Parts: sequence; structure tokens; C-alpha cells
Amino acid sequence: MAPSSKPPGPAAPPIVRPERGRVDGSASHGTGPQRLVADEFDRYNRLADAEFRNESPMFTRLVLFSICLLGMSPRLSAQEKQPPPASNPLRVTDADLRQARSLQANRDILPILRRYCTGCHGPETSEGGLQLETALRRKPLVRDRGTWKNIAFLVGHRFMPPEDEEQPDENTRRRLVAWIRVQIDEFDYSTINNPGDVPIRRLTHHEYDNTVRDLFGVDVRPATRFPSELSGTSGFDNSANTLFLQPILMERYLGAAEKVIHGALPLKPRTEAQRKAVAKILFVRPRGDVSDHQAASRVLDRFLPRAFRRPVPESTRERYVAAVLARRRSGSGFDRAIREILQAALVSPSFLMKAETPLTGDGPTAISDHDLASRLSYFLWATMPDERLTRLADQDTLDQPDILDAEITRMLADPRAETLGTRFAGQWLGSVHLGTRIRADPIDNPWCTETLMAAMRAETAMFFVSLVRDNQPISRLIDARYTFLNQELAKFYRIGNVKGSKMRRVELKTEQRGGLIGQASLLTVTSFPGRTSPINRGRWILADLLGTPPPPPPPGASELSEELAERSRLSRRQKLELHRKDRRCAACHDAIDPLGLSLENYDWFGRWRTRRRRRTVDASASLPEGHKFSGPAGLRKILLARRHDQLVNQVIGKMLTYALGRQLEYYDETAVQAIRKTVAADGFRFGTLIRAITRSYPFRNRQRQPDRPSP
Amino acid sequence: MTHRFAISRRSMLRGSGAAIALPLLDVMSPHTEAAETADTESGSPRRLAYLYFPNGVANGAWDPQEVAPGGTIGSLNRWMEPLKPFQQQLVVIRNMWTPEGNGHGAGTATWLTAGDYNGRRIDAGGVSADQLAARTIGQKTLLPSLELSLRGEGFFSNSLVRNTLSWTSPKTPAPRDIEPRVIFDRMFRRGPASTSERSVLDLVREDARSLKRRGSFADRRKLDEYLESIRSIERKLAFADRQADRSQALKRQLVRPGPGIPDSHREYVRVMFEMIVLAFWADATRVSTFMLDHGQSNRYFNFLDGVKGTWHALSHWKDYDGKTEDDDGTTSWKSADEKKRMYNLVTRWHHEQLAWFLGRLKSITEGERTLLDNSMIVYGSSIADGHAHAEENLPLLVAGGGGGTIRGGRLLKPRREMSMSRLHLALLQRAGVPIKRFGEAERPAELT
Repeated sequence: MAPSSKPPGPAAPPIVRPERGRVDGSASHGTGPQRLVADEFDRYNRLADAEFRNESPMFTRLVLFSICLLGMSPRLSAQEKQPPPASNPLRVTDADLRQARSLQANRDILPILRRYCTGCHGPETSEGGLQLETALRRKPLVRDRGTWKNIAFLVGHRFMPPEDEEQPDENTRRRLVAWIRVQIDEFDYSTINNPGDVPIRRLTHHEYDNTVRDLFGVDVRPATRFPSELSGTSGFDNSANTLFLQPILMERYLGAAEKVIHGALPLKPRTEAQRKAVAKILFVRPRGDVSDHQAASRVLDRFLPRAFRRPVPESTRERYVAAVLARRRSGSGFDRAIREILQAALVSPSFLMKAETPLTGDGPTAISDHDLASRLSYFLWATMPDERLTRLADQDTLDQPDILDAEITRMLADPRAETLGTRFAGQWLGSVHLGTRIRADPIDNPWCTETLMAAMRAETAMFFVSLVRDNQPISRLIDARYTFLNQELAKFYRIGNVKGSKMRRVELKTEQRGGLIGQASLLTVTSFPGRTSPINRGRWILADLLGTPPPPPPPGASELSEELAERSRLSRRQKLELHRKDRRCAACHDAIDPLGLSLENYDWFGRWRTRRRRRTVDASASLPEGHKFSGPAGLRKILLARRHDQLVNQVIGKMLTYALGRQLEYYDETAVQAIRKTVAADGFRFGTLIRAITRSYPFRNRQRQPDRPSP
Repeated sequence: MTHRFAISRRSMLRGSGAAIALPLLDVMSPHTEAAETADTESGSPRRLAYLYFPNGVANGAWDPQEVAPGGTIGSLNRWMEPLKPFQQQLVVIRNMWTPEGNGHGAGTATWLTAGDYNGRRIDAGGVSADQLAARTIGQKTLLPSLELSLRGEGFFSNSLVRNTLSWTSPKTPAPRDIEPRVIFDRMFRRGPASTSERSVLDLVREDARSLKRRGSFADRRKLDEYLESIRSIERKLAFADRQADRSQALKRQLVRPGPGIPDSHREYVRVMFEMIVLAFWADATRVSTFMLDHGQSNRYFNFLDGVKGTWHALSHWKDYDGKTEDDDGTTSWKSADEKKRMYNLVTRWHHEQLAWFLGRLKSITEGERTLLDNSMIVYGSSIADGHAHAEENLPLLVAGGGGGTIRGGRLLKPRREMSMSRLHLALLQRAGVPIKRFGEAERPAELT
């Protein structure tokens, strides 16, 4: 939850609570001014300097004393004794769930929320951006699955309502949590039939470069000079909601189009590739029996449908032809005129953007074959469809199951499928950031060369693509016994007998490497400069690899206490122990920290180490459920034994997100479940997964979505 | 729009490859005096600029040293001393905040929008103040507005939410320029043959229109972005045509900045400020925003005497052992006081650059006034004390005379927390934007 954004009014008193048993008066939170004991005064004065909301020292077991000054009376009442938060999380039983199924939102749940919650999370104040009354009205609740899950977690672990507010009795708490569980976990997705939609969006910079390359057969790469794409929340740069086309980018496109035409179709071709491009695209010129109009028509008739990736109406082609003729009339030669118009096509929205066949009704509609060709090629190759795909689309046979299947096989074998590694896996796992945002200063770290970082990125990308091409099971992401290395990277890993700068597949004999968690690229992007961060790595595993991110920190979770002066003597592990001692923190950190700690043998750039700061690295850990493991080998086993389902779900979800070019919504869950079933029936193999995605409901259909008005 | 520009002092900024000069002489616009008096606008237009810096300011460092009972500032404190020459044209603000969006990311993104930031939908809750201005008064100039940033350094420099201050719609971030030469060229470069480019634009605009006809609501929005881009290029062509009339001498005297980004951070910041000065002077735009760094910037300021560590690390001045998650693992400090001092030194350095900028604006006369008199410059952050990530009592000030509508030299400190929306409302109205409310605010802040 975000920090409180309520104005404090006249100087808010810090809230200090009685340590158990030390203060006269009731053990509960008081309603009026309490009689202060002398040393509480001192603590109060010190706290009055600290800005409470962001600095409350947590686990010094500090005395917190509720002071009611200035007539501000908190809404408290005498309550039965509550166990301290999170030391006794609610355990919802089957009986609770049974009862919860008959509860109704307005009749049974709304009153609970109104009494205990909406004071802070309601129409007047919406702490952390949460307005429960509107949330309750957004049906079905799975639309805001994440929010409701967080609510169930925080209420179940007694973080909410906050300690100093009125607490519901045990039964009420149970009802609320159980009801949420039922609404979210037991929702019947078969009642939903929405394939979703993606609005027109521009090509990403990578897609732009690739498309230009394949349109002309010359690799000009102008997008390397474009302003860099910013990353939003879906995790992929091809998501419609993060792709903006603004004037500054338009100016770049104009320049790029000029560069491409000069580079690919110069008036005087010099290279073989240029000659081929000219022969292919400008295959006819005006001469005796061929007029300007005819030549232009024939060139554009062939070029425009390829550039715009779909059949082009005659009226459009005629406009382009007219533009060529207009230039001819004002004195340009044909060669120059036609090139200028081809250049214009490269700044048309029909080229720059992915636009699909317009929807005619309000219900779900199957996409056309040309749309399918485009979706397939941008999904598997991050580029425009090639001639074979286009021809099958023209013949209207691409969507036939056996033909489609054969095409997918062909496409995966094609070199262009490497983008599944460089763009999909790279963005999903984060290895794309190595070398750009995350790198070591070469002055202090001369071993950290550009080629090393490139090899590290390539290892992850090529590894992923190899699993896809070999139709390996998803679990191989974790337990594969091979990887891709060149000499420099092998040396970095202290693996011998790999010579030369070319990346090649290497069977692994050592337990130190193997699978994603042993790859230096990922170990580096989850570290800080110069030091590892077990919490970061643990979070990466939970959130990015398994799709089970920890909930946001509760209010008051901030830094380690200033008073703990002996911190410097403790090991990293011991320090983390301390903040897991506080039950409020342990609720999440018991799940996060062990995963990262088991990887402590990898330093901040992924090198293997057995000692750190004069101590032997201790990579032992245990899951919250109690299972113990140690080191990456142990982590691999435990992930496959205990977290395989989550891994599978995450891979499915991420790949579907990438394939669709949008974030998944609640109504996509049906498709995800169907894909999961198909994949499970075939050993969870990657090839099966990709095929299932291309056959899935949202991939093959679209439906107009309700408009979200904008100001 | 015609204006007479009289430059009274030549100014040079030299550095490795970056040299800007404004013309020395009194420069008349190409239009005759007679034509000018027929101008509809009385006096020079008002300019609006928002200058943002991240990581907040240490407690106490924004409060003037002496304030008279009526609010007049007697003297600024030592950290704000670089601004002393402009004291009479400053309104230092206390007790103001943005009620909806706060924190390193959301605070930055919503500094100008009065909304709350929704990361999942990438929605900043509203159109930003500068873009609102761009829509109305910006339509009269070459560029509706100018969005500048610095190339980021370190962690978070790629984060969308921390790099976005301006939103053309609640869900559309406006991109920002970071390279001085590119900015200069946007305003002053002679483009390719305009007729040919124009016909290209006509051709592709028709493509967009036909796509729009067939598309959904969301499609139309995306295509509107495209069409807006086309329009902006056309505006540039029109401006270039007008410039062709202007004395060639003028163009010859403007020195184009060198390529790339200057090595010296100070020079970089000043060149970028100079771009704003140029833009306002040439009336290429009247609205600008400049992010002196992105939210939660981890830039190193070790080039300052007595400073070590990244800006964000320094802002957490009570953690001095260098072992928190925010630290780089190599820098530590001796005490919180030492660290707080360094934090304040970084803040003060930025004030020095602001002072330089205000000086430049003041050196340009426009009729009876200076460009500074005719400007409204907001300078501040979306966080108060960086250690506590405090949200209230943001460090803010307004510099400039607003064309005679702002009374400077004082402290604006309302008794109750005031929403920044009221400040935006007050300034937008002065800039000529016909609005009665901004965000949740209906009463403009008192600036006269």
C-alpha cells in the first residue's frame, strides 16, 4: 500500500503504544489520554522528531503509546484481546468456505467493509488508492483479482485494519476472507466469452528495424537512433498501452525513411543486396510501351500490400500513383519520384502501425488470414510476414489446422525465431537490461567487456530458443544440463575447453551451472553494483519467474533500525534474519529471502564464489512450508518439486501477453486454463505451448471493448 | 505573432563543443514598426515554465532566514543564497502539496496533473498543466510546448513513471528531448524542401483518416496521436517558411550547439536552460517543462567539492553507513550531519543553475520589461525531505513577474495545507488558458 496521503491537520501526534504489561490501565488500546509513565515521555519526545509514518523503528520492540492530544479521538473501542499481527494468521477452513458461498456482497459483505474499512478506503478517503465501495461494485470481482488477493492477505494476516483501529471479531474476519477466496478462486470462467482486443499500435523499434530489413532485404537499422522505448508494466515493449507515437518520433520516422530508401534503393546500387532490392521492387520503369502511370501502378501494386501487410484498396494505390505523377509533372525524373513515394509509404500509419481488419459487429469476430499472418510473424519473428505466409493468407488457407501447424514448424526452425530468445525471454527475464541499464564500470572492472555482456545475454536468449526448437518441457528452463557459451563466457564460468568467440551449445558437467538460475545475465540484473541482493533475487524468482509476487510492504515497513549499532559485525544472512524475526515482516520475507540466499554462491556478476568477506558462503535455506534445500542444485530441485505449477502458469501467461501485444485481463483466464490443459496433456512442452497459443481464443478472435472515455 | 526583440547584452556559453550566442544587436522583427502596432496583443506574451528536480530537499533548507510579518522575505537561508539577486522576483512557497499522487514515481508523474498514478493502466489522472497550456496558447507558436530532460544516470533512468512529467492525455506521456543540438534543430533548422514534404504529409494523412473511419474508439485515439504528429511537422514547415523571411543575419548569429551531450554536467544543464531561453525569446514556444533529473535520480555529484554519493542516496541523509538497499556498496559517510550537508550542497548547486537561468531571462528586454518579468517559472520537487519521503510541504517557488501579475519577494505560506492544483490554476489562468478549475481546485492561489 502507498504511504498515507491524508493531510494530518494540526501537527499529528506520533502514535505510541503501550508495551505489554508495562502500563497501568487496560491492555487494550485506550480511548482517552493515558497516564504516561516517565520514560515514555522521553521516547515520545524522540519520536516527535522522527516523522512517524515513514520512520517508525519496527523491531526494536519499541513501546508505542496511543496519545490522544488536542481532542483528536481515534475511533477505538474496548476490544477483546487481539493476538499481535501476523503471528497468528487466519486459517480459513472448508467449513468457512462452505458458509461463504451463500454470502451476498451487498447484504453481508458491504456492512463489514463499511464498519471497519471504508473510513480509510471509502468514498471520502481512499488510502493507497483503494476505494472499496467501487471495488465491490466492479463485477465480477476477478476483474481486480490482484487487489482482492492483497486484501485477503492483509486482513488474514491481521495487518488490516491497522492495530489502532477497531478490529472485527474473529468470525467476521473469517467471513470476509473466506468470501473473497470463494469469489476469486472459485470463479467460473466459462461464463465469460471475451477475446479482448488490441487497438492499433505502432511497431516497436526492434520490429521497425526488422520489418524494414525484410521489406528491402537490406539491413539498415535506423531505429538504433530513435529515442529509447520506456518500459511500462506489462514487461514487454510490444504492449499497446506503452507504445506512443508523438511528434518527436514522427520526425525520426521521416528521417529514417529517407535513410532506408537511400540505403536500400540508391539511384546507383553498389552492393549485391542493393541490386537485388532494386530488381525486386523497382522491377519496371517507364519506356516505349510502358507509361509513367503504368510503371508506377505496377511497382506500387506489388510494393504497397507488402509494406502495409495486407491487401490495399485500389483507391489507395491510385492516390500513391497520383502522387508520383504529380512529381513527374513538377519536373522530377521517374526514378526520383517513385523513390520519394516509396519513402512516403514508410511513414504512412499503414506501415508504422499494426492495424487489423475492422470489426463489424459487437460480438467476437474471427480475425482474417492476413491478420493471422501478421500476428504469427510478429509473435515468432518480430517482423513482417514473409512471402509464403502472405501467399497462404491470400489463398485463405492459412487458418487451416494442418497448414498452420506446418507453418509454425517452418517458422520455429527459421533463424528469425531467435527473437523469441532475444525479445521475449530477454524482456520476460530481464537479461535485455544487461549492458545498457546494468553494467559494470570498465575502468574499475576491465574484465567486464561489451563482448562478455553480449555473450551473457546471448546465453539466455539462445538457451531459451533451443528449448523451443527442441520442443523441450518447460521444466527444462530450470534443470537443463547444457547451456550456450563462447570462450570468454566459459572462462568467466571457469569451464574449460571452449575455444573461439562463437556461441555454441556446451553440455555441462558441473552442478554450478545449468538452467536459468545459473546464468550470469540474470544473476547480474538481480544484483546491485558490487554486491548481491538476496532479497532482489528472491523477489525476482517469486515475481518474474513464478508469477507470484509478494504483496506490497505494509505501512511502517521501512529501514532497519538505527539503534542496531552492531549491524556491521553480522553476516548478510544474520542481518536478514533480524528482519524476519518481526512477524509482520516475516509474513513475506520467509518466502522471499531463502530463495535469494540459496544463490549466494553467485557474486554480483554471476561468478561462482565459495567465500565472501572472510566467511564461507552459506547457501542453505528453507521454504515457508519447511522444506530445506541448499545452493542452486537444491533450489532447482525444490522449484521443480514444489513450484512447477506456478512456473508453468507464468510461462503461459507471459507468452500469451507477448503474443497478443497487450496485458492479460481477467477474461483471458479461460484461454489460459484451456492452454494449460493442452500443454499438461503433452508433457508441458514449448512447441505445444506455442501452438496452443496460436489456436487460442484471444489470438484468433477480437471483440470491441467498452470505450474508456478520455478527457 | 510579431514581437520586437531587443537584446541588450551578448551572452556566450562556451564549453567543449557547445557554444550559444544570442545576437548582440537590437534585432528588429522582419515586420515593420507600423505593422507591429497593429498587433492585437498588448505587450509581450507570458511564458510559463516548470522546472522539476527529484529527491526533495532536506528539512529546513527551503525556509527563508527572515520573513517580515506580512510575508516579505528579509533574507534567504544560506542554502538558497544563490537566488539572492532575484529575491524580489521570487515567491517562496510552503505548505503546499499534491494530495493525490506521491512518492518517487507517482509523485513525479503527477506533479503537474493533480491526479493519482495508476501504474497498471499507465494513467496519471489528468492532462498535465503544461499540456493544457500547450493546447490553447501553444497553438500560436511553432512548438506548442517544449519538454526537456537530462540523460539519466544510473538505476531508474529507464522508468517510464519517473521520467514523465508531461501528459498529453491522462494515459499518454509526452516524450522529452535530451540532446541540445536536436532541440535547437527542431526550432531553427532549415528543413528539406517544404513542398515535397507537404505532399507526403497529405498523402499519409489520408491513410490515417481512412484507418480512423474503420476503427474502434481506442484505435481512433491512437490515430489521433499520429495525426497530431503530422500536424506538428506541418507547423514546423510553416515556421520555417516564416523564418525564411526573417533576416538571415539573425540565423547566422545563432550558433548551433555541438552534437551529443556535454561531458560537464554544469555545462549540460546550462545549455539546456539556454534552449528554453532561446525558445522563449524566439517565440518558438511559450510553455516549457524541464526535468533537471528524473524521479529518484541516482546521479553522482562527486564533481562538487565535498560531496560524494548519488543524489538519491544523499537524500536519505539519516542512513550514513552506506549499507542500505539504496546504496552503491562503496560510499559511506561519517554522520547524518555530514550527509545532510552534502545533500544540501547538491540542492544549492541546482539553485546556482536556476540563478544563471533567471539571469539570462532578466538580461533580455521586451519593451519596458524583461523576459523574466513576463515569465512564470515554477521550480521545485514532488518530495519534501527525501529521507522521510515526506509528501507535505513540498519545496516550491515561483520566479518571474507573470507580466506584472505576480507580486514577488515574499513567502507564500497558507495556514492550512494547500493543494498544488491551486497554483497550477493560478498560473494557467495568467498564461491565458480559459479554465475555471484545475484538478480539484476552483480557487486559484493568491499570487498578487
